[in-house]
Amino acid sequence: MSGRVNFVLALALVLCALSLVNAQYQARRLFVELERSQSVARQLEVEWSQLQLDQSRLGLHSRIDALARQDLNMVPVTHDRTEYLTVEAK
Amino acid sequence: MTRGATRTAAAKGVPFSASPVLAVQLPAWRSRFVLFVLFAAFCALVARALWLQGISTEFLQKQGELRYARTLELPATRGKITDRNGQVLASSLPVKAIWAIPEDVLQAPKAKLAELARLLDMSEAELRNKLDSDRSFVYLKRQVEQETADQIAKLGIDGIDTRKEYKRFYPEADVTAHVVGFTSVEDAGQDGMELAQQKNLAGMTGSRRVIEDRMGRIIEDEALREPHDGKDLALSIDSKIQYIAFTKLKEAVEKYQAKAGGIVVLDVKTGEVLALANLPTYDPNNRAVLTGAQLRNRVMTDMFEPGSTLKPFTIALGLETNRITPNSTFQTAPGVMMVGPSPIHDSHPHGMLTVSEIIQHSSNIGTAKIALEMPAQEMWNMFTTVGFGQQPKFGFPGAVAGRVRPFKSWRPIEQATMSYGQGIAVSLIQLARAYMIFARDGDEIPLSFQKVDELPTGQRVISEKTAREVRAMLENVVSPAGTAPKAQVPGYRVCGKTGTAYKVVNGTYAMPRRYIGSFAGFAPASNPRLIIAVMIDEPSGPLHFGGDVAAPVFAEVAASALRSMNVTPDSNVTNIVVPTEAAGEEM
Repeated sequence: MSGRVNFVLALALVLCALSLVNAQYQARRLFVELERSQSVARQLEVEWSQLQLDQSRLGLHSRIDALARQDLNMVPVTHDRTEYLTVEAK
Repeated sequence: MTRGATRTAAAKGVPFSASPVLAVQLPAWRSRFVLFVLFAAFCALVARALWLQGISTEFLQKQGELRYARTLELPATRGKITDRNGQVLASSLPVKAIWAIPEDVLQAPKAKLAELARLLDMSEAELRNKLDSDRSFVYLKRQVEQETADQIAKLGIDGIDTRKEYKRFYPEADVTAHVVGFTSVEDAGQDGMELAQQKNLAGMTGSRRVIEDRMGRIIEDEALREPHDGKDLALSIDSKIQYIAFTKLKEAVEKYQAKAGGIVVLDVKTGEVLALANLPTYDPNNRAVLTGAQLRNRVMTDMFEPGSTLKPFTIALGLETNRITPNSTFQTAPGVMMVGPSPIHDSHPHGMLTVSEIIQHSSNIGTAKIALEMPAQEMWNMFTTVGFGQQPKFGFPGAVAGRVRPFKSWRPIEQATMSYGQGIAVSLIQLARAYMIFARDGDEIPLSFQKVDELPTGQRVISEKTAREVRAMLENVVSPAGTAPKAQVPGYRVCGKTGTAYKVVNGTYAMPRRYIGSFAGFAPASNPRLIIAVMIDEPSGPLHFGGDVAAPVFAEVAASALRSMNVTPDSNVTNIVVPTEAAGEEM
């Protein structure tokens, strides 16, 4: 009788030990994955900052001004060439 | 013989008791000796164990940890600075600092060093100069962009390594330089809003303790202190208006051959600073050569005698205390008035003038006569309440308080000259803010360099009636008959006042005369939205009056800014009349 109990307990112990090994392995694997994703996130964040900066650089008023005047031959709006539409008060 | 016998005996399975070896008689001390040696060896083991477990355990644990645990620094990024519409004005990007161990690097082949020097953008001699050092750590170059750093790494020179750091980029460069400021190589704010908001912008670096495997890969976190990135900062600046203000100011400074200039644009409803520009300026991205003149934020830190732009405050005080009405008349002929022993001049004799006309023609004598009817303390109170001589609370580094002497020491002549802005010193931003009381129906609100979400409540300085009366007078100034016809804006009614002051150098007026032409005004007159103050320092061309050099800048900026803000025009006048002979103006 006690021999059977011992056997069951030993079996349970082995199973627990194996599942611990497995859990540890899974934890490491997931951790590496998390680590990788985080570094990708950081990379993307830097890229986003870079793009925002680029957008600002491309949208500089001095650049738009120069392009409009030189490449597109545009002139600033003046008051006498503007048609104002007033919404009638109800 | 004995040996042979034993082996045979063992092989043959002779029992131990019968072993012939037992028959050999050995001296008893030999066994005792062996026992003693065993005991001594055991003692040594115990002593060693005690030593390791008890005494050097801490050292050993540390050494062990060093082999698998590591503390990583988690960098935090400095917050971005944007304008009110989210356009980036300053942003940090990761770059590399290249450092070297000179001894190791100098052993590299010559060709590689030449290549390194080229990548670092310095001459070979310069590079050798840096490496010629006894120290074991030398920065070769800081803030190198990632691409170049990668190329350097590819060279594979021993003793060269990189360190991650951040570089601040300023896309608007010289246009917003004075507002935004700049940071040092260590990412600490040095000037402008970068300095003022250093606490919020700077991030808090975190750290992280990890366990590594034998390949150096991180396998587990032990402890973590989260890094906190710096907060982003939205300025009140509108980069479009800022650009308009900057370019128009630049044109004027060049056209009138001025030494310097400044302009500030305020939002009347919220107290936000929409634009602030100075000339000369600098490019914060490239600060290799910088002069003090370029760095100076004149709008905030330069005091000047405002001249006639101060007259409306004297008049407002007179109206507020019911000593005068807009139609009270004063005799300003013959163009000279004696206050005690000192004369006061008008540049043109005007004769009988109403209060309204005193402002329109900017008569010194008229203003002085009004001022002398009032106690000094009341004038001092007026100046102080609108912020002159008071340390400004703009949250901007280096803002000056200006100078208003205590009223107790005022002599009558001083009170008279102060009424038209001489013997008193203010900064341009103080002047612009003071005009708030006319633009806002009599109350004033705090200025802000950061975006304002809810409207601030004002503090009443003068009554609404007085504000409106002064506004009507200021509108007359900007008319063909006033001193600032060049400040007229097509489609909008505008108010403003010119000022021309002699420059004070070393406590006396500079000789030959040097001028500061200024203009402070707001538009549209029917419902003011913008206050614009312009200062042109030492115009050296033929023109130097505020109405000639500063007023046109006001008009151009107001026209473009009002249009870009979609403000409905309130006037049908489209053709601007500027008389060839500009109306006379006082200093």
